[in-house]
Amino acid sequence: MFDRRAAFRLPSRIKKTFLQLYRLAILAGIVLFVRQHADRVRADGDWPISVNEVQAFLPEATTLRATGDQRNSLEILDNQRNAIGFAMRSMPYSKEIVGYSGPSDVLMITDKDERMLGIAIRSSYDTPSHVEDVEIDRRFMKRWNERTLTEVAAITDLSDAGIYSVAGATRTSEAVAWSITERAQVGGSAGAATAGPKWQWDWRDTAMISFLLLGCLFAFQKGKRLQKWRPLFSIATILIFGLLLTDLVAQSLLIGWVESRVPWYSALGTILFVFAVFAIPWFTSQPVYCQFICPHGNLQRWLMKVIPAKRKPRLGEGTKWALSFLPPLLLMVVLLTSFWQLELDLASIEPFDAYALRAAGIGTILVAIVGLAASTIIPMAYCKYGCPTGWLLDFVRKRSGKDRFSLADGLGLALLGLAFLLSRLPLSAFAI
Amino acid sequence: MKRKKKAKNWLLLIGMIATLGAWMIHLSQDRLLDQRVRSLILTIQQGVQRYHVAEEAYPPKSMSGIDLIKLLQERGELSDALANPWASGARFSESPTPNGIAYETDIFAESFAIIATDPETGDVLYRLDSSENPSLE
Repeated sequence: MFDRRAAFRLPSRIKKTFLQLYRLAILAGIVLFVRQHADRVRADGDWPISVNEVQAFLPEATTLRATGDQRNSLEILDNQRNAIGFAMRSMPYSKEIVGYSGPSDVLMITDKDERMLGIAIRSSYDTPSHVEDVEIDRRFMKRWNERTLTEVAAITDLSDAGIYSVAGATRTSEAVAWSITERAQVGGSAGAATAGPKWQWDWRDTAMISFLLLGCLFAFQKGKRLQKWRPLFSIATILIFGLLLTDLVAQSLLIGWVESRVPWYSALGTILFVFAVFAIPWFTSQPVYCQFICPHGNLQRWLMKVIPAKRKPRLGEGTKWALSFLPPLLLMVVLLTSFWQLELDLASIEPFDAYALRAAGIGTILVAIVGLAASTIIPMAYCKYGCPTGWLLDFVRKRSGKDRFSLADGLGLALLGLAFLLSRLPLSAFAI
Repeated sequence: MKRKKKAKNWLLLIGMIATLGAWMIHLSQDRLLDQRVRSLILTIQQGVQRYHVAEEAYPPKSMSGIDLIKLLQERGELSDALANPWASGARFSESPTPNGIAYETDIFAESFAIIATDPETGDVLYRLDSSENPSLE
């Protein structure tokens, strides 16, 4: 008899590959939305540029999109989503350039070839009447038009460049002018003339990679001669990797990198380590970091031996089910904190900063102590029911045996959906 | 019995969501207050600048925020509708306290400082002055 379901059933291997790609896409999507939002906030800062402001110079402007490049500008798009120019504000780069009594925030609009179309004073800490005098001086305000950003950045003498201060508002107009040149220099080729950053690699990077390689060895080589060293390695991860290096993989680290720039030059070892921590389980299904390297996981493995198993209470399946939602809920907290720029130190929702001892905040210490105390009763309590980073690593891990769309995959999709929705909101929705 | 256990598990989940949700709302309220305090301090600064233009000096003595606001409002340099972010947005004229604004100047009234502090803890939130802190950026 013709089995319709079997006819449409994908071979297991293809289903597994598809699900792995799906999980990677979820992670990549979340990273993309968080990064786009952070670029928007960075370009707009505390006073987001609105389309209305830009339309005074480019009436066909409909959308502003953060470029995420070194200029930190906003790309101006028309209703066909064609790039028609760039918008940028002088603040916060010009915050030290004081006119008569304060700095000014200048809007700069260029065409897509970075040729200035106009400027406007958006707000000012300077004397209002002086600012008004500058704003109504059309000659000063239009002096910038047709100059490229590179030409503006190269100005070292205003009068040589044909920029004359406004009578009765000399200092204010000069401050506005220097704010424009200062802003034009951001991310421009003038800045690139200096020597580039140097790659850095020190003993800490070597130590991290060594721990990674040893972790992989213990994960993939199951021979007894090697495995007898595992307890010693476990103690080494707690004392050296945890308490000495303190470079544990955590949400605060990951979000920091996603929001700003990955510090390729100064933290190459850490970057390679983190990449491997995600890549190894994705390719091989081995949770090398969680199972072999993470000091907090290893400490829990030691602590769970304190109370004999038969004297430990058993968690019901339903309770385990409910508690398993805590890590993805904490990931939602991470997303909301990132998008809303909430006053929450993400290090305080995980115990990893506690290994830095002196620098550890009270929140992270509490999470560490509670997690470790719980693990004496419930084996690996923090890893199973509290660790958002561990959940993320398990989410991307290749499943051994059969694989299918699970609750975790649904929760991942929900996180992506949340990141997408938050990224579509205007910055004013975040009280930014 | 099974139904009771199921309900207990759902309650646990809802409890976790509610706790985290309440925490997020509390943090976002803090952020909103923070933004409103920034906006207030910038508005007051503009009023002080207008006073300076008229009198060629800043308000002549250090005073509390409410006294500064009253002075500037009486002179028309600040709007009467100025809202107090610490009093749920009520006008300063109706709800002057709590507020965390203070104004400082030198003996010649040639400089100014507007300081916003947390009314409960006294921690300085923002400082805007004519010397080292000319902006809030």
